[in-house]
Amino acid sequence: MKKLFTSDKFFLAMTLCGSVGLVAYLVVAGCLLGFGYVMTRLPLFIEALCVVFLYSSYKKHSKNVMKGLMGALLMTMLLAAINCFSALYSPAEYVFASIYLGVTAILFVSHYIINSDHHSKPGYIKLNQALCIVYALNILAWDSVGLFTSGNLLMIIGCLINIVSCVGVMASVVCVESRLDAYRLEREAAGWTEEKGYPENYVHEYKKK
Amino acid sequence: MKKLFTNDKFFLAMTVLGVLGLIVADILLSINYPGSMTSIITRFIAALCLIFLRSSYVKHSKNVMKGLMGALLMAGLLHSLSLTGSIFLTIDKVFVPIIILLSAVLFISHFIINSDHHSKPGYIRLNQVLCALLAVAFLVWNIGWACVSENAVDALASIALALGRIGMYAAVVCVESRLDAYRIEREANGYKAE
Repeated sequence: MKKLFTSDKFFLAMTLCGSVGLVAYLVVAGCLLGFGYVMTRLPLFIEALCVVFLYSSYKKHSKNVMKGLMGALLMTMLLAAINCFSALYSPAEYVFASIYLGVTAILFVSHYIINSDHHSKPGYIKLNQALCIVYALNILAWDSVGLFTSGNLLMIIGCLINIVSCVGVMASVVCVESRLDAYRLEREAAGWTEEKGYPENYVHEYKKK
Repeated sequence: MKKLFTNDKFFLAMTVLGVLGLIVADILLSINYPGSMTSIITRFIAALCLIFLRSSYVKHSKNVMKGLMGALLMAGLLHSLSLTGSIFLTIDKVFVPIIILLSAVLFISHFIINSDHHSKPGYIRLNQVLCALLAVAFLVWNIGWACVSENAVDALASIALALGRIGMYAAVVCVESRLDAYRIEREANGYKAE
């Protein structure tokens, strides 16, 4: 589990899944339901942009931007989970939607517990990784109901893209969380402390190139 | 303007205004529209985030502040975007695009201010001006709504919601202007980013 979320290729793959998947979902939904529907789902486009900027700011070691973007992405996931409750049609969906909301809310709260300055508990990252997998399985189960009952090919493609994009966004946030901890350990190995910052004549990684 | 946003009492007042406005709007709207629990919970989460922003500022917990500011700005942006779904009057067609534009620029310039490599702290002035403009837009729009609506509870709820949003944005801009001052103070003490 730890190896999966700290692997570079997995992070890149999840970023691509999230950003490309969200844009593709908008295109497919536009084909199915018309341009007016796409205009109501514009937040998804902003989410895709945020995922791309999260990856690029991670590459540039821009820690402050990363923190803000992770908060913003988790907030969109939380609001999307809450909005699910306004359109539920079958008893099976009640179960899936409540698991979805519960998992997203715990991920949102434990993100701040991990990143807290005074009460930081880096061990919660393992909880987050496990919750991310529960989240993926839940969405898979939920959308497979629509996947197997609908006869429309575009609808099936839309369901698949929805699974891929939701999992991609959440997994890329958890990836950055698991890396920030490792990043901190690396910095501490280089002599960094909370009060004094880096030692003198230390060359930062992004200035070496 | 700079003095206003770095004033301690103004920050406290704006936090209290934001939390009270959002919760009062929740209570009033749950009287009139008992079915719309989702939007009520959304505003309640924004109010909780605002309380935690204040307490983490008091504790100088910088990382939590960054995340909560991003979350609050995103919640505000999503709320402004969702306003496009309910355009009924001519006044809506004027003010909804203005509000979306202002909150989007606030969202982007927040990350420009906080960037590690391309930081431009001067953009804080832009954010302060934008926050004031947003306050004017929200107030004019919601007073217009309140004049048109035929239900006193609706009118009160729309004004409480406007005050809550203004308090929310003002508190975020307050923290931004303080973080800059905090950084300048640290640099005066010999701190360097590298």
